Amino acid sequence: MSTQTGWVLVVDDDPGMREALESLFKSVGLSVITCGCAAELHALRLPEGPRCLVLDVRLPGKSGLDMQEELLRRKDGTPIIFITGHGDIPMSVRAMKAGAVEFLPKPFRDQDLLDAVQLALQRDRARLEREQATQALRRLFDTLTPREKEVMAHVVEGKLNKQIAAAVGVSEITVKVHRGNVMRKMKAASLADLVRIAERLRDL
Amino acid sequence: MAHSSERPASEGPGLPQLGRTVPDRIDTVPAVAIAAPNNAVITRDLHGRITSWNADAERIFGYPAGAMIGVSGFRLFPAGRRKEEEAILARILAGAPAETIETTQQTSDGRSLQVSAQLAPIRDRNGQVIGISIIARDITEIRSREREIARLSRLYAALSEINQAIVKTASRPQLFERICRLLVDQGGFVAAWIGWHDPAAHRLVPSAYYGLPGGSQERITRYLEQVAIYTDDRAEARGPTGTAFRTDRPLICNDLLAEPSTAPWRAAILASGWRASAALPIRVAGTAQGVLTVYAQEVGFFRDKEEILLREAASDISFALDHFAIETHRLVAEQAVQNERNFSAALIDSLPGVFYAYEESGKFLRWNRNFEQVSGFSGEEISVMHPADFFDPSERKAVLDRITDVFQLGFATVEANFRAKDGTLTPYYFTGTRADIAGRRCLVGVGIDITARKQSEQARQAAEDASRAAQAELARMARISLLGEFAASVAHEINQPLAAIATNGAAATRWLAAVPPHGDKARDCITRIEWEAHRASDIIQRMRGFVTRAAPADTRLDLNQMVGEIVEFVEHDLRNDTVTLHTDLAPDLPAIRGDRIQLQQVLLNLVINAIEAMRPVTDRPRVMRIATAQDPSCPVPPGGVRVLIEDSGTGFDAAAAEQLFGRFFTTKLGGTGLGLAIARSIIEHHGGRIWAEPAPALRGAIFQFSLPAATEGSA
Repeated sequence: MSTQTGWVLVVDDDPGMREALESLFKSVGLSVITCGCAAELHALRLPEGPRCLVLDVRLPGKSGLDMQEELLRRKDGTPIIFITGHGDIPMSVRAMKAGAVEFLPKPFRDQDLLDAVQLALQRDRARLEREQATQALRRLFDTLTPREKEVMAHVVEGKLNKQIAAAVGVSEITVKVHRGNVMRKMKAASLADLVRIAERLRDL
Repeated sequence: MAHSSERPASEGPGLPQLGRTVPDRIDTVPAVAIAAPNNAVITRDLHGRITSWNADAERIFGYPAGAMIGVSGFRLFPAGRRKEEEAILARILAGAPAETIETTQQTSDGRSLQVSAQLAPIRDRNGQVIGISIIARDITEIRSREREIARLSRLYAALSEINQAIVKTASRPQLFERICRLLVDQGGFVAAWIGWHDPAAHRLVPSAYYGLPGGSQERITRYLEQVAIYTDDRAEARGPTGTAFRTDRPLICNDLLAEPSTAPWRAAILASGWRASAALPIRVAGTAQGVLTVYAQEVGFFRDKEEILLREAASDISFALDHFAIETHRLVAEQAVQNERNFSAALIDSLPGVFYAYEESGKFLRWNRNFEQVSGFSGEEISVMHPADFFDPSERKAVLDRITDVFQLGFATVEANFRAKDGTLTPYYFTGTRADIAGRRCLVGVGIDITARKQSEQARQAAEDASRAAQAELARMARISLLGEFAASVAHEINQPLAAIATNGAAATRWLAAVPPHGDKARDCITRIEWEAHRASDIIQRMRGFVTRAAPADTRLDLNQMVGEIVEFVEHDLRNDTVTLHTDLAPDLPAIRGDRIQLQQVLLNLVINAIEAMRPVTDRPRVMRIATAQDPSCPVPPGGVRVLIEDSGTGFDAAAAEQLFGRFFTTKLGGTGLGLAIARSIIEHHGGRIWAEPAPALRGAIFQFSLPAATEGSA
């Protein structure tokens, strides 16, 4: 039994299935939230931490596939595992291409589902860590003065201090001072490190 | 003859003197005299004195030569022609050649003679004219005979004209008009009229009349205005015309004024100037109906020849009138026939179709214009053709059979293509009725173009076929999808509790395996498993309910017939998948009882399964065999009925034979695995059984089911 923790969000219109899934996930130490439909899920305040969605394809109202599309539009990277009572090949292809972790026909082997959930949570944990690191860099970046942000932008473009001084309209020595502040405040070990940090900030 | 107081100067025969006077020329005169005996030969000198008067002159004229020789006042012509005589004599004395004249002379006893005389000069030796010779001949008799001949000729000409008029004239009034005119113009009578009997008035009413132009035309008109002739016994009925009518005999009156019976009309007769009349009855059908009366100005004009002629004319007129009556009757009859003929001709020609009448031999007697137009053959061609010539060889026998039927049974019809000269075929409906025409057995009938009807029939047939095909296809789709849909929805429903059971089971295992084990959690799971199992069972019950709920029908069914229907349903699929079907249906298959639709679904499911199982097969023929047979092995009396469906498909393992009918077993891609399960439910519900086995011959599968036969007498 895995020691990894995380939230499993189950959306299935069959209450018996919801209860069974809840018990199964809890038996392996996972936290579970179950919903009967997409609207119900939206109404919830979702907990922090790694999480994944277990969606029945056929749902009242929005189908599981519709929900997947919506998450993609919102840039919500929550991993999705589909379970279905009547899935067909085209449907599963569509789901997998759109980034689903797994597509399981009912009835499925419990281990298959649990493996899929662990994989999903692992991905989500990585996603969260990446997001947290970026958030930390963002906080560091926010400590820079406007002039330092300006100098940093020129630095990561690979410009020389002389060029930066001309562009910004300060002395070369002043550029050196700002540059030193940027490296320190952004906790960058080298110019290459700073360029990487800048790229991650741009992705945000 | 001119009478002269002068006596002849000398007595003696004229001939010697003549000979003496002109001895050298005498040969000419005597030659005439000798050649023409009974000729008076007279000579005279330059002074007009008679120098010779022969014996014939004595005999003809009645004067002796002695009395005449030397007389100088002899005249050839009567007083009115003296100038003419002088001129002739002067010409001859001047040396002109001989001239012949015709004149009248009176004899010594006062008779008037017609004389023909030749006058010639007499010359002396020197050629000097010394006198004139006259050779005269009495031609009174000849002229009289000639006149008689002319009169008769005229009468006969008139009669001939009358006969021609009779031939040419179509109506009685016209004929009467012409007869009156001819009798006057040609016959020599001055006036003529025809009175026709009016029985009511007892009167002869003028029907036609005519008078000679130059007086008599007006006279006859006035005369007939004044004269009324009756046919009873009053005085005005006793004149010649009335008498001729009453006695039915011709009556000639040669002196009207002397005849006492004409007293009532004396004034009119006097005014007319007519003195003789002839009245001739005109008969119709043997009795007098009218009178033809003609008039002449001379007393005694009518003689036997005229009478004969007029009798004949009257008789011809009567004949004509009888003929008219007959002719009129004939014309009326002919007109009626013609009318009838025109009517039937118009009728025949106005018929919308073709009309024909032909003998048993096939010789055409009659046909309408349409027949020629439609066939493209001329009347001349049709007249030598046979009815069979108007049909395609492939249809001839059928048509000839129907023609035979007409002559044997009296009436028949046939639909066939009428073949025109150019080979085009037009669908026609022909009738034929036996009829006797001119003593011969004939076929009379009409043909109607049924192209439009055929087309609409075909269009309707096509529409019906299309709609039937569409319906069949729809029904087929509905039936095929019914089981599949049903199976799919059942599968989905059952999947839910199954998945829940599996998941709960897994969860329970994990709760128990935990350290320390969570017995309560595991128990919850097991409770849910139990609950889900019941839920699954409920679903299956519902499915059973669906099957049984739809089976209240319990009717007598013929499985052979049902197999036929199913084969019809899947014909399209069989063709598409190039499956050869063999059916082997037991002829005396007992009926069964059950629900038609459910059993059809079983059959359909097995057949579709077979077709689908053969789809991957490409290395051998796709063959399906459907057989029905009695099944004595059935434990329920009176035995059972078995249906076998064998295919050359992919088959199955013998070991899996029982599994096949379990739920969710499928060897098909996309199959639900429920079709056979439901089929088994249905068959078992009907008290039968269903089983499968490999088909060694076709290397496919054999599915069979058997059902108990219906007991005898059950409805």
